[in-house]
Amino acid sequence: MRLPFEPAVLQYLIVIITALVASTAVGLKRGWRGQLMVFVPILAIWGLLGVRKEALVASVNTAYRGLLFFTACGTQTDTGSCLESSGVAAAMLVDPGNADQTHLLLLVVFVTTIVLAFVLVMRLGRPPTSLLQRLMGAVLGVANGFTLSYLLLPMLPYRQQIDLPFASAAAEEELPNIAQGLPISFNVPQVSVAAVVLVSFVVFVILAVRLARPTEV
Amino acid sequence: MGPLEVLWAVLIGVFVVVGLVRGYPKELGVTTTILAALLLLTKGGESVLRVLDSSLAGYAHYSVVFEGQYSSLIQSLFYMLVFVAIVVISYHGDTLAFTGTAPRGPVGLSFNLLSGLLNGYLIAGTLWHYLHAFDYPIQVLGLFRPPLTDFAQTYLVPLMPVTLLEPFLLFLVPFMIVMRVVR
Repeated sequence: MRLPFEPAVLQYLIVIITALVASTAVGLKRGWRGQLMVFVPILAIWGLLGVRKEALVASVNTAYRGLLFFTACGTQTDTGSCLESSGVAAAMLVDPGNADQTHLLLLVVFVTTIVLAFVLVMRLGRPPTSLLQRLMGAVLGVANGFTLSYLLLPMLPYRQQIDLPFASAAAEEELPNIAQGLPISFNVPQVSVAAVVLVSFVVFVILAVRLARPTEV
Repeated sequence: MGPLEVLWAVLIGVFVVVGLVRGYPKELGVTTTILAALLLLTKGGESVLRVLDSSLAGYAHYSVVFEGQYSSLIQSLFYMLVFVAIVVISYHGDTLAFTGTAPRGPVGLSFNLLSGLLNGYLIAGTLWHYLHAFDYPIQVLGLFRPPLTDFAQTYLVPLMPVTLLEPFLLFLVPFMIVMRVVR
């Protein structure tokens, strides 16, 4: 996909608008208490990721090796030799020496936490009792949206094309079919635009279905 | 003939009007059918063309569909005619229409407009995609002559629904069916 501007600009816009809209919506719906319930876990996970990212990468790689071991050697009688011959012991999903891959992992964990926090507060939070609380929530929501953008933007990889080496590595080493079907790279602008279109479409259909009135007979 | 994006915009405008008149529950039924048609064409279109080609090759003694003088035109027309036929059928009946009616007031109006816009984008964009993918074979008929304008090249071609939505169609079609059922 050819764009008239750098992919970074597109990412900036998507992140800032999404963060602002989502955060203001939560503020309006759940008031300032809801905002606080969203913001504290997000800030906590951001701090935790900054301090403990090596531990996270190690845990993900351990889990990946476990999965590979299960699929490659689960049915073998001699698991020891299978472990050596299949290359499972040295396999890794995220290379700690590769800054891009570590960044991608941190980004996925951080975005997942944000989405979870928003969904939980929207589903389980209490509605504000007065209009003032609602408005305070919206104002705090705007502030939170900007803060979220501030935390997220430095984590984004500003590239046109991002390689996903685990898929090619898996294919080369003839590891089990765990990652061979995955693409070896993705185009950042194309994926960003497709994600926006897809999310807008899904939200539109869900809202449309919820708002439809029963047919009068 | 003027720039293709003008025709594209007019076509979308027509579908917006259709959406406003019919209401979004019916339009969402059409969206479901369009997405299913896209899935069918992207996954099985080429296989059907190959079968067609092998049966035609018996008479013509060469690959009419893939190597003939008008191969691009034939392939492009095949995809567009199948797609248009499915769209016409989906607009004609309301078998897949979602139940219920649009809410009154500006909310209902906005949703009707958006659903028309969505269907217009899907239909006009798909037809354009199948022209673009085969290098605008309608120029043989004297209907359009490339190149596209800079605006179309830069902004519209990357947004064509087939290229953008193809990886997600396997998710979108069941999603629409589930949304229709849960209603």
